[in-house]
Amino acid sequence: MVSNQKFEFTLSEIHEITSLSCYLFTAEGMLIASVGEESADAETAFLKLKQQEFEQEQEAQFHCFLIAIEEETEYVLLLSGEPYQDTIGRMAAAQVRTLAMASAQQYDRAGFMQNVILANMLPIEVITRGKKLHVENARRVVYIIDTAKKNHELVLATVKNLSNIKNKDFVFRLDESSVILVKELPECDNETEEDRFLQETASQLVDNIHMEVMVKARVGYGNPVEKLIDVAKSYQEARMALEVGRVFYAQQDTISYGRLGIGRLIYQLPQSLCEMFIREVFGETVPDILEDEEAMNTINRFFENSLNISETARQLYLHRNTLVYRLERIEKAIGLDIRNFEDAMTFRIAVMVLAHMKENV
Amino acid sequence: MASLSLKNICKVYPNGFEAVKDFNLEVEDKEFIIFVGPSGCGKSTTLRMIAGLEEISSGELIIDGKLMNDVEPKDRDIAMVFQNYALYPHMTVFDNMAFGLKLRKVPKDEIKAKVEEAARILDLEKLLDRKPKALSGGQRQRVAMGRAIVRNPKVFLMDEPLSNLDAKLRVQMRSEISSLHNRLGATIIYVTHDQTEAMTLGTRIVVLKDGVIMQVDSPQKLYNEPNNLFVAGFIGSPQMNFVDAEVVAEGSGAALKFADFKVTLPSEKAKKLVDGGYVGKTVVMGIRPEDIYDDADSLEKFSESIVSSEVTGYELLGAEVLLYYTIAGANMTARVNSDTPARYGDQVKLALDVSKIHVFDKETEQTITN
Repeated sequence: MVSNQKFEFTLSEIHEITSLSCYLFTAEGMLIASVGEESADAETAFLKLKQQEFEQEQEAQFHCFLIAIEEETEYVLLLSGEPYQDTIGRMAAAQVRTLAMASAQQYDRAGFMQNVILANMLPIEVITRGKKLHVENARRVVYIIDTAKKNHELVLATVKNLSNIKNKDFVFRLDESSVILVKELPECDNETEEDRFLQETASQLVDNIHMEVMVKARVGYGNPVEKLIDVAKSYQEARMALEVGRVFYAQQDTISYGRLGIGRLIYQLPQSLCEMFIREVFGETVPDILEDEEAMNTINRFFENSLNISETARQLYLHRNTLVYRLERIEKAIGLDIRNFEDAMTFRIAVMVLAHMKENV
Repeated sequence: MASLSLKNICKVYPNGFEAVKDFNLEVEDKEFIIFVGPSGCGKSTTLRMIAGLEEISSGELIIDGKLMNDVEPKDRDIAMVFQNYALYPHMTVFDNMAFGLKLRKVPKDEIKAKVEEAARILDLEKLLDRKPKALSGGQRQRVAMGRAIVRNPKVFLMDEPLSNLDAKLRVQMRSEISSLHNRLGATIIYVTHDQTEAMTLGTRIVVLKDGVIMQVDSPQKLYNEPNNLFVAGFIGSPQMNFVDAEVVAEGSGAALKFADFKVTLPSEKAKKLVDGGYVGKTVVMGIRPEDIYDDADSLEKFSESIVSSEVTGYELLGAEVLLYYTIAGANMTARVNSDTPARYGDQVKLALDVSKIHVFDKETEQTITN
């Protein structure tokens, strides 16, 4: 960001022109530049103003100006001395704001990351610019938070506050319908732990947006990547997770690219190939049982439990024999014995292909 | 606070999956309603439809007399607490609770008053300046509740808010939520898959399966008079024992016959079986583990309903013992006094309290006797 020296220089110029004493604080309260009289009183005034959340524009002899960049207060300028005129004060604040904004653009980390995920930069540019901005290689993942064009500012604010945007994470908007979070991952002992972290983060994003902003949110995320240049890949994966998830996993709020499984492949099949496959599996007519809620629920639960009859029966609160009877009824209807792995796989793929075809109609 | 009315609510996803079917429920003002059922039964989907986070495919949602189907979630005057809540790590407790109000540009004085009031209710007054990492798990949970309370909503919606807590904290928070309900006098709809949580918290419980309401009743009634096999099996831990039995006539009454045993039913239950034309048919007999005894007094008292089997498992719980055994191919459990002499491998006699026997239709799985 802007060096304190540059601020000192600017404040000195203002002081020379206006004879006012100038004190520039960060929003947190650190005095980073001052010219004119001793700063002790200014610091006391700053604390008082901060306590009142800067509702007042003046404390004792100090006039207060908030310097906001991208709608967030970054600096606070206090001016004191005579002759004071409001116009002079506002011009001084505008000068400091311009300097801070110009620098912010030059050191715009979020803008840089936007260009990285959109692959708008050459690899060498990513490396050199990244170094300049202190954004280096690290294990990162991209989350896309889709809220269907609703309440973006509030979603953005919520995601920013949940993240470590000061040091590690990047939160920004790319379009009307989504907010992007590029998250640096903590060190995990193994892949399972990392998977859990990724899923928990996604669930937290969804639940917090639901609770605070009260809009429906869906979160897609890609695979973690090590290199800065590969963040674009993680972004593309997250995009695909949302797209494929919409077709095959409409009930889920969080969708991981890594868990799309065969849906990823089916999503890319042409319609003609899908139709041919369905004819091969079911013949000319798709069995009615695919519309039978109870049967499909039983089948899905059976698949979720790796074709384990006892566990499925337990979860469905059914007697084992009742489940076996249901599976036999299903076999008669679809011509596939889903207790057999090959048949189960064929049926699973066929159901997904049908969902994909339905989506394309 | 508010009353809610859900009329013929259905949810069908674009891929054809029907998550909720013809859901009808009237929720009174200040009620604590629990939606309970196994995962995928539609309980969270229903809650989200009430919240406005899921579109209602068909049916009507009415809050305080107003149709809410097309009202934006933020305008429904509700607040939600979800399972995966996260506090904002860089903010104090005060700011965490005030965040949602600040986003909505509520005046500062109002925010302050609401946060302080919520902090008082939740006993968080002394922690308002702390950051989340300096809080215990229970305190964090209370802050999450506080974020909902400051909105002063008509209805609180809670979706498994305790699921991520450890067992001890869950029990503690359960009682805190219960007392919070009393203090706020709020209408609460609470989703859980944990039947113990449902039984301890709710004034009424809605049991769901495959998107369909199985039964709506008080905890006591659900436990004592389940409508069907599913509710009977889902509510209660260890779950109710089930065994297929044949209904046989016994004078003007009836008895249940299974394996080599015959259990004579009390006249009221027997009459329902006879009148229903079940004599000679196979039904499902259900009995809870605590309604099975092995002490001498009970064996004498229920001499018309004694079974015997080999103990295949013995679990001492402290004051009680769970005995596992098999009858007519069905695995069964008895919860008996801890001074029982029975041990693994023993042949034991067990008396069934016939007044507590439930009988279900084998085809429809509906109760015959309740």
